[in-house]
Amino acid sequence: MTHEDLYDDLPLLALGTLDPDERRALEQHLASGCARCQDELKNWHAVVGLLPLAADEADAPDLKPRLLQRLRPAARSAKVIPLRRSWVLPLATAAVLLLAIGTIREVRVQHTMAEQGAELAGMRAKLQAAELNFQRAAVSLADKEKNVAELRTALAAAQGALGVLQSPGLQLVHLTQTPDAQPAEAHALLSPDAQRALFYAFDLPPVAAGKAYELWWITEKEGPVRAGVFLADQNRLARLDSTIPAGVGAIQAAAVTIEPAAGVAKPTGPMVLLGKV
Amino acid sequence: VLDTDQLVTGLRRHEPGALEELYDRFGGAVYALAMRMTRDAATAEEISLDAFMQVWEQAERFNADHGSLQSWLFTIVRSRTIDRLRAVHAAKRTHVEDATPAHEPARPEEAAEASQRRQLVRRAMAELSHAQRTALELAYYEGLSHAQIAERLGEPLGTVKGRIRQAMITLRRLLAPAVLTSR
Repeated sequence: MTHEDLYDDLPLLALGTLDPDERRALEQHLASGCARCQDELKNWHAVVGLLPLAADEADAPDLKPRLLQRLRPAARSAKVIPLRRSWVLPLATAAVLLLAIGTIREVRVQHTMAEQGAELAGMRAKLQAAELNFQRAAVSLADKEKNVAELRTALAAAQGALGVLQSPGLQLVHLTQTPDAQPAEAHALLSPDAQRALFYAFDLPPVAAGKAYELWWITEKEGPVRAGVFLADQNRLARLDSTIPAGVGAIQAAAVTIEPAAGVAKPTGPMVLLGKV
Repeated sequence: VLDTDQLVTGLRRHEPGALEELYDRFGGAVYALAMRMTRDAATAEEISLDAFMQVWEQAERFNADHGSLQSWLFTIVRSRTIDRLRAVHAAKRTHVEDATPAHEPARPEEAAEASQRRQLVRRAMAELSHAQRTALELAYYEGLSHAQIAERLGEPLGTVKGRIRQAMITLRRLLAPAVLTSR
């Protein structure tokens, strides 16, 4: 095509009626920078831009408020649109679609809530299990602490006993039942240097309620000196960690009597065990 | 009253008042064009609203070197309408009987100017031969190509093309005063 051919097609390009090949050729020419054609095209666009004014006049009274309403998207949904016959079906369809969408959303929401409820129940069950485990752990810890305390006590007693056994001048007293007493025996380890004594009894029968066994040191100067009150356990065994008072002279013997549970200052009850040093 | 530059600036700043002014100036013509092309009031209203919203949302794309704001707006309306017509090829062409009286811009000077321009275009269209006007209207309002117009009218392609070109040349000559102010 010559330049004049292209130039003659400019009004048709502005009008938009050129075939695709013709339009493409002319647009390439314009893109190449032909100022004359570019300027001429503006004139033709101006002509085309005036053609709508030839249309029969018409107006839609509610168009402007509807346009301005579109600037307020939030309020758009609340706008009342006058129904035209041709809109009834689309609007009804839209209403059905909205209802369907709403139903689907409701179902989804309920499904989600059910899932979240189940998840919450699961979390609660886990929490309860964790609390139970915690309580068990706390009880176990208390038991262990108690055991530790008991072990410490036992260890302290064992260390005390070991101290007695390792002390010089240790004396051993063997106690046996008296003639009227039931069969039983006991040992007393005396450490005058440490002023401590360990007492172990075997086969002691239980005493009556309100009563207890009381150990005595039979001394050179003071006679019977109280050394401690004790009871036999279920295996008829008894153990007592006692002290040896100073200033009472030599210990000549050890004896066990049955006395009131609180103990007495001097023996009052029957003697069941006796052993000389 | 805003001049065109102020109007474009307002649109680019998304000032509602600018869109209102744009509608006051061209709302009637835009709707009339859409109505002329679709012959369906509801469709014409939708196209008009969409066109104004496109200008509102894409005002930064407007280039005065490529034509007037009015021309751009009409081009948008026409493109949208042609797309709609092509999409629904069998669109109903029922005449709407409830067309309301013409909208007039609110301001007297604008109303007078618009009225003069409309009269000028109508007189120019009236100067065309019936064959020229028919071919031009098929091209403009229905978006048909030369080949489609030739088929519709049962005339040779070259004849239709020449007829439309001659119609455009005549219009340009008769509309010269308005063309100068539209550029």
